[in-house]
This record gives sequence, C-alpha cells and structure tokens, in this order.
Amino acid sequence: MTGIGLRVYRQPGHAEVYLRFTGRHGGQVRLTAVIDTGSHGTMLPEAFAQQLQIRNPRKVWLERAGVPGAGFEAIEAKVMIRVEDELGALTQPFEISVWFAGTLEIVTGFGGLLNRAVLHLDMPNLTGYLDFPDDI
Amino acid sequence: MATLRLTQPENEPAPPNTFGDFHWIRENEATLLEKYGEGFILVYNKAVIGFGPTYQAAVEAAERNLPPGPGEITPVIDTLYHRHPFTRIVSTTLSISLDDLRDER
Repeated sequence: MTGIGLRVYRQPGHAEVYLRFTGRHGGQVRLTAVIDTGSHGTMLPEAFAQQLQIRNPRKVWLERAGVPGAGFEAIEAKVMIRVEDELGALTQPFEISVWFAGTLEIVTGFGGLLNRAVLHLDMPNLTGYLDFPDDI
Repeated sequence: MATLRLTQPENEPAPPNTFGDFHWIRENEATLLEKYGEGFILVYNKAVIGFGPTYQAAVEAAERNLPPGPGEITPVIDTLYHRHPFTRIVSTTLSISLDDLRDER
C-alpha cells in the first residue's frame, strides 16, 4: 500500500490531495484537488484540457446533485495521473476520467480516484491520508 | 529575464517552493479572494506573481512580472473561488463522443 498524506483544513473544513497530471507537451502538471466524497469523478477548469494530455474526449452533462437548474456541460476525457504528497510518497501512474468544465473548482471524488483508495480523515487532529494498493 | 516554468520533467522532484506555495494559498484564501476576486492565481515563494479571470490571463500576467536576470521560476497554479457549501458533482446519462458530433455536422 502507498499512503499519501492529505492536507486537512478547518473553516471551511475540507481535505486536499496533490495530483500530478501528464502534460500535453510532456512533463508533469501539479494541481491540488479538494477531496469530495459526494462527487462521481474528478473535475477541473476547462482551461486545463489544453494543458494536459487527454484522450477520448466526450461531451457530458453534469449536475450539482440536489440543486435544481444547476446542470452544466463538460468534456469528459481520460488522463494519466499520479497522486503524491510533500513527503515524497507517490503512486504508480494510473488513468482516470476527468471532467473539464466552465468552473474554477478542482475536486476529486469517486469514479477513478477515491474508489481505488482507503480514505482516513482525522478532523480533530487535521490529518488524513489515502491508502492506494500497489497494483493500482 | 527569468523564464516561467509551469511543468516539471517526470522524474524530477517538486521544486522547493511547490508545496509551501499551495499551502500558503489555502491559508490565505479569504484575503486573496477579497483582494483579487475569483480566478486563476500563480504563486511563487509565497507571493502572487500572476492573477487573471482565465488561465491564459493569469499566465500572461505572471510573464509580465518576471524578475530580471537568468534562471527560471516555478510557480504553482491554483484557483480562487467562493466555495459551494457542498459539491457533489454527478454525471447524467448523456455522453456524446466529440468525433460523433463532428460527423453529424
């Protein structure tokens, strides 16, 4: 198992993880994403579709669950990522689907990332980590 | 003039400023939002070097703000926005390949 440390915050309470994406012209693009256990996937601002190496782009319709009229269009595509933390822990590369949308939010949920890992979150102590299997 | 580097080679460790800068953005998010509003932000060594409503505008602003002299700087890029009380993004059933859309036209 590869344990990846999370950054945990109060006010507002949330946890974040570092993601390394394969860039369109090679190299790695590093972003930080909010862990969202209610989301079915990973969402990035659409500008990053031009910065990352993507494949199989498709148009999809997304909704913010439970909010009437809050649907929006996005491009869903496959990207290669690695998950890392500032102590040097790093997963193997694996492919996930990402939604590129007209948003500023950078969030990651199930449907690629959280469904692969065990999530530990200790809010009183502001610590947390994701445990990924070695055969990711 | 220094150059801007937004990506790193695959096997290169993160530049020394990287994780501290991401954390600095989050720790100062409320102040940064009040000052800049919502958009894309580039930070290097805990200082904002570029901001814009779009990714491109933020990068161009950073390029205009580069220090003189040789070398490269490796800012982090993040976004500033007023957080929704919950996110919960779900995909509904519509999924059309962009290639199919082009064929239909």
